Amino acid sequence: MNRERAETFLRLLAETELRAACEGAAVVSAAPWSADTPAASFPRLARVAQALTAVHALDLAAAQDVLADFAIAIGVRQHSDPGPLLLTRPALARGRLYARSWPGPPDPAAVGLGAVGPDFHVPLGLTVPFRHEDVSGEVNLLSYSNTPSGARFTVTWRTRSPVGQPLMGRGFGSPAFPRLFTVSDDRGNWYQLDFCFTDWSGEILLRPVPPDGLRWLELSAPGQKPVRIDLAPQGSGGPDDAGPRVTPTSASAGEQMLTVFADRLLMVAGEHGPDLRQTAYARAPLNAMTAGLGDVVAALEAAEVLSPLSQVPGQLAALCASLSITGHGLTAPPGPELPERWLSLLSHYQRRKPDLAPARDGHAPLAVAFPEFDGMRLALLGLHNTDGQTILHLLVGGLPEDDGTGPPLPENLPVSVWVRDSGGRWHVAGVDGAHFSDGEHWLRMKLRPALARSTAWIEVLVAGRSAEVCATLPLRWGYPP
Amino acid sequence: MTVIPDEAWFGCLPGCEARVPCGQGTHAVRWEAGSLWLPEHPDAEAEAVLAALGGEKARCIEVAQAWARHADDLSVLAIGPRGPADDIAIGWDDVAAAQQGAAGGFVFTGSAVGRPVGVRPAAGRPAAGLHPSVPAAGLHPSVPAGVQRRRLRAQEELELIRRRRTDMLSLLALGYGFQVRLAGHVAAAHADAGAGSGQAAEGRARPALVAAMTGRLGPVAEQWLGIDPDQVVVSLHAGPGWGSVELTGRGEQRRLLVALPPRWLARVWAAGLTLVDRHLVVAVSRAGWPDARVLGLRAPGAEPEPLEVHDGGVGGGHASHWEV
Repeated sequence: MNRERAETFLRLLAETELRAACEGAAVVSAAPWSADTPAASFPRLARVAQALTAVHALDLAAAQDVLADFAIAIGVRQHSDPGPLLLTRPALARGRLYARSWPGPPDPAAVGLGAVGPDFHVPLGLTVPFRHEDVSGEVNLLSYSNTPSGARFTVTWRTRSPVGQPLMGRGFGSPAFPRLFTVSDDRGNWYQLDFCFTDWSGEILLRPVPPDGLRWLELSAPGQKPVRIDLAPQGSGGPDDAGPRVTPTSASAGEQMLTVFADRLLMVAGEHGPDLRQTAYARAPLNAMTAGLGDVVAALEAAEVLSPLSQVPGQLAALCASLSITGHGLTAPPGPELPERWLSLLSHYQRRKPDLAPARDGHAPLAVAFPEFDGMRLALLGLHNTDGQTILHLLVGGLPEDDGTGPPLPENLPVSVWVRDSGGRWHVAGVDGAHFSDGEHWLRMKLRPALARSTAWIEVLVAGRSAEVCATLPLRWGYPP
Repeated sequence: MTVIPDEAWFGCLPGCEARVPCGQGTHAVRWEAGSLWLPEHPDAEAEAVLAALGGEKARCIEVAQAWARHADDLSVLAIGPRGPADDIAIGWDDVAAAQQGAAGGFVFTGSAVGRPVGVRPAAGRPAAGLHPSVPAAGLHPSVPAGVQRRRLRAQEELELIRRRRTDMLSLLALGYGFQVRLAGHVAAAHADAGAGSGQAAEGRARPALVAAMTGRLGPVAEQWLGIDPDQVVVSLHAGPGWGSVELTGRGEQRRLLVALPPRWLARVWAAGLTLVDRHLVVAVSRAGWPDARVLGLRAPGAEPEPLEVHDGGVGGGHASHWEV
C-alpha cells in the first residue's frame, strides 16, 4: 500500500476538478448565487476519498481536509455556498458506496484462519403460541446462542386480531406483551427478557446470561403452557455433521472492495429485473452508484491496493455492460469471465417473465458458527421468508464498535455473502438491518432473489480477503398456521 | 551543475499593502521582507492580550493572528490562487457576513467585488455559529455518555470549521499580493522542513506540494507550450541542481514531466516569475527586486539560460510583471 500516492492521487483529482470548474466560472460568476454549483464536481472527489479511506490507504482526517479545502476553493471562485460541503464529515462517514476493509490495515496476524470459537449455538425450530386479551399469535424460535455479547433467541413472530386477521405494525401490538413472557432454566433460574425487533423478526435477549451446561430452558407465553427448549448440542448443522469448508484466498484490499461493491450493485439491480434493459428510470440508481468507478479503480491502483493485472475491474465492466449501465468510466476491457454466482443472478434478472408470486412465508432454524477469518467471527442464526422476502440472520464478532467517526460497519459488510439453493441458483445477501451490542454485530441480511420455500438445503458462502468459507445446511421449514 | 543560492525565498518580492476595515475606519496592513506589519497597531501583542481578557479584538489583530496560524498550513495552497488569472474576489463584507453566519456556509454579499451575485442575508441564522441541526452541549443526563461525546466532538469540529473558514476568507480578502506571499510562506516552511531530512519535503506534506505545483505549473505550461494542463506530471526534486523538465510521448500520451524543488513555489511562482520572455523560470540565481537573475528554459530538455529580469510593475493587484 502506498499512502503517499493515494493522497497525491486525490489531491491531483481535486486540482483537475477545480480547473474544470473554473473554466466554466466565467459563465457562472454572472449567474445568481446557487447552492448547487460547488456540489457539481464534489461527488467525483468524494467517491474517490471514500474508496481510499475504505481500504485504509488514506486516513479519514486527511480525506476530509482535501474535501473541505476543495469545497472552500470552489466556493470562493464561484461565489457559491460551500456550507453543506464543509460539513462533509458525516457525508463521508455515512451512506458509503464502498465497504471498509476489515478489520483495519492489513495485519498479517489478523488475516488468517482460526478455529471456531467457544460460542454456543443451537438451532431450535419451535413455535410458541400466545394469547393476550384480544390478540393472539406465535413466536418462532429459530436458534439459541450464547456468545460474549450475551444469550439470545433469534425469532420471528406474528400477531392476529380476534377474527384471525394478521396485525400489521411493529412490536407485539401492546407494550405489555413482552413482560408477559418468562424464561426459566433447569436449575430454577429466571431471566429478564429484552425484545429487539425489526418488523417480524429479531432477538429476545436473556438477562442475566444463562450459565454454561444448561440442559433446557422453558419459555412461558401468555395464555399457553410453558414450552421446553432442549439445549443439547446438535452438531455442526451441516449434513452428516460436516462443518463449514474453508478455502484460503488472497484477494487484495482493492479487489475485495470492488467485489463487495459488485454484490451491492446486483442487490440494487434485483429491484428492477428486466426493466433495466428497457427503461432509463430503472437504471438510474445503478448509474448513480457506478458514476466515477473508473476514478476509483485508478485511485486503488495508484495506492497499490489493486494490481493493474487484476481481473476484477474487467469483470465489473462486464457486469455494468450486462446491466446496461453506462458512464462508469471503467477503462478495463470487459471480461474475461464473470463469477458463476454473478451469472446466475444476471440470468435470473434478465428472464422475460420474472417471479411474480412472492415466496410464501416460512422459517428455518439455523445455528452454525464459521471458523474465524479476517479477524472476524461469524455465525448464522436463522432464516425466514416473510412478506415475500428472505431474511438471513447473522451474528458477527471481532469488529470495532461504530463510534461515529468512520463508516458504519454493519451497513458496509466488507465480505461477500451468497447463498446457493438446492436448485443450483445463487442469491446475493445484503445487510438490511443491524445493531451492535457488547462487541458483536447482529445483522439482518436480505437475500435477492428470495428463496422458494421448496428449497431443501442451502449453501452459504462468505468470501473475505483471506478465505472463502462455505457451509451446506439442510432447511427444516416451519410454516405459519 | 547549477548551484542555487540558499537565500531568503522572498528576495524577488516587493512589499505590499492592503486596507482592512478596523474599528471605525480602515487600517493599513503591510507585508515587507517576509513579515506582516500592522503600522496602526504598534503594540499588537498588548492588544491581543487585552482581547484575550475579554476586550474587543481589532480586525487587524485578527488578520495577523490568522496569518500566523496559516503560515505553514498546506490548505492555503489548496485554496489560494493558482496564478494571476485565477481571480479570487473576496471582500470584507463577505468576511463580516460569514462571521455572522452559520458554521457551514459562506454568506456572499458580493458588495466588495461589484459582481451581480445573489445575496444571502445573515439575519435569521443562528448567531452562535453552529449548524442548527447540532444540539448544544449540556445534554440531559439521560443521553448516553457515548452520544454526548459524539455530539461534543461534532460541535468542536464545527467550531474548527467555522474558524478555518473565517480565517481563509480574511486572508483571501487581503488581495492577490498577500495571497501569493502567504502561499510562499507555506511552501518555504515545508521545503525547509524537508531539507533537514535530505528530502524535497517532509513525507506528510509531499502530496499537497505535488498537487500545489501541478495546479500552478499546468496553466504556465499551457501558456509556454500549448500543452493541456492535465498532461503535466510533477514530481518533487530533491538534492542539488534545479531539477528537470522533459517532454515525452505524442498526442494523448504526450506528457511534460517536471521535477522541481518545492522551494520553486516560494522563490519563483510567488514572485510571479514563472514565465519570462517565453522561458519557463526554474530557479532564481540572484534574488532581488525590481532586478534579479533567473534560470529559464526555452524548451523542455534544454539547459537553463541565465536571464537578467526586471519587474516592470504593471501587473494588477500586486501581481508582478517581469521582463528580460
